[in-house]
Amino acid sequence: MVKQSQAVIKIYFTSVLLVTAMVVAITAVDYGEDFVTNMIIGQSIGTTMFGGAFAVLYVLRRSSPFVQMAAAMAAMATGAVMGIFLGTLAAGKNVHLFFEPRKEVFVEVIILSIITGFLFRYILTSQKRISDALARIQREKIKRLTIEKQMVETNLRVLQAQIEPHFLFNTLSNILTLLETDLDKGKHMLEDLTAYLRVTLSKTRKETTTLGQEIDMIQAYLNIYKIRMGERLDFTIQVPEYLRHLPLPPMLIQPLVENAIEHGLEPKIEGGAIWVSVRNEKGCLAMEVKDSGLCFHKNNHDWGVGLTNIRNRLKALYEDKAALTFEENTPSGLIVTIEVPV
Amino acid sequence: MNRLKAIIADDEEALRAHLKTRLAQVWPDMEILGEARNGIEALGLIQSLKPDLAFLDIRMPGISGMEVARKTHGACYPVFVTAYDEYAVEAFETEAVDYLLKPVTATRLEKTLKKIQQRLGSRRVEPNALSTKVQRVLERLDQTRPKEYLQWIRTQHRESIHLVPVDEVLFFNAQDKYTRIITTEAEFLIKKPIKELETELDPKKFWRIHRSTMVNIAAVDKVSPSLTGKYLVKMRHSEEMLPVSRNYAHLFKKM
Repeated sequence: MVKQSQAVIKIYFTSVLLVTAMVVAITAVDYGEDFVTNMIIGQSIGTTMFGGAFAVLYVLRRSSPFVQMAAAMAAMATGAVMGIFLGTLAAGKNVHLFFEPRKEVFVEVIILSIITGFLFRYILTSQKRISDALARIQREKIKRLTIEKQMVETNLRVLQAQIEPHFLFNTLSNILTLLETDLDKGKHMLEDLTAYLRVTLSKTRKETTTLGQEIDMIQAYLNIYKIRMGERLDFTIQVPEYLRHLPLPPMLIQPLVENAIEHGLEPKIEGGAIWVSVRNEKGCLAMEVKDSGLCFHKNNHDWGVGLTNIRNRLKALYEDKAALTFEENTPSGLIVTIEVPV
Repeated sequence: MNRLKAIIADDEEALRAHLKTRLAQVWPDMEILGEARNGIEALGLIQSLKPDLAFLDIRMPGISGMEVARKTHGACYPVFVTAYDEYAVEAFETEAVDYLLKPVTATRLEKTLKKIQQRLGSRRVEPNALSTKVQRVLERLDQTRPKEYLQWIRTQHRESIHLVPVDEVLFFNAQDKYTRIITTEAEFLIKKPIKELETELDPKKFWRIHRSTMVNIAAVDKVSPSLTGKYLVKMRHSEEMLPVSRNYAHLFKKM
């Protein structure tokens, strides 16, 4: 409010200066009366025009710019005519006698007021434009900071959620058993767990890894599950060799696989299959994880916690250029696809 | 005393084998009647073979180990096995229910078995007492375990399914048998009643403001009192003014 009234006073002061300059010019070309009379009439016109325009703009502050402009111009013209009368009176002249010989002055004043109206409007809008731009910069800044904050948060969550204790302890129990019953299998499982842990633990600290690294980690993860679930799990990974070097933010595909195993296949009595594939389509990297699991079942509310993280990360990393889509697999299961620009 | 009979239930073959070997070492007298690969098989084995003891993995396909124990009404003595579950372990400790942690070690198994031998040897365990114990564990877990809230809502339109992330929902609106889901970009219809959704969603994020309306707090644009003294809620990206019914008006008075 204080800022607004300050601005109004500033503009009014500018208008007084402008009118004074005009009065000096008019007197110099010997138009109208002496300097003092011209000054009184001129300032009177300026003040009424200014007052009218501001009153109208204040009343119509929520209307469209076009309405504002038309109304402000009408107010200025009316104000100008009123200003002439008031000014003439204030200068101690007889209005009737004064204007009888020069009616054209009204037309002149109205034209002048329209011109100043345009000028005024221009000054106002450019001021508004500047404040709008400042506000926009501020908004962008807030948006960027919010995204950065989200990134840090989701990265933290990824870091915290990366090794599910249930997964770790069950796998360790398996290794312990296999060391007694099937040494080779046990060794392989230990190797896979090591590979999984190494990649998971190290890569979350990096901004990007490659698609190949992510796939290797998924391979290790699924190898472990294959031993644990036995015949209840089948899996296929199809990734063209030439795509493996592509950079990719870490932990984008892995949570899809984890979700499919944990909520789709592990709780399903007969188990099922999981297919991981990556395609390059029209400048887009499409990563698909398909399963034949349960997809949704009752009381499975934490389904897709990892997917919520992915969704937020995709938004932060690619804005609207990435997509996370779902399709139902037949006869059962889910197909989740992530598409990111290459 | 007769030889103790037991069953083992775990969905992972290696883990069943592991427990079996350990049991043979620590308690060679025990007879393993059968092995179950999921909760439903476990339930069947308990009912048909009538073992004295059942080693039940908690997380199993079909139904969980704890559900199996609850459904058998104390017909046999349960020993729960878990890889990791802080909340369950805490509940077992307070209710003096026996449990084992995976990987099962010989030392820990010996300790547990000693306890079980004492309990089973001194006097026959009352089935009713067992059953209430399990019931109490489940109740305790309901209270202590952090509730998982719904994250995605599944909507179906002909062949294709659509998963709506709950934080993109502006509000829910009951319409006859259906619930309308309004998001920034689209509208969906689901068959689930708003009453059910209310129990599944995080009450910190979603407020019921009317019999037929539930709003996402994060998407509320403004709340204004109407001429009749009721409140009207306007959501972001939506022109609809949602009335707050008298029963829920207190939610906004505090604001």
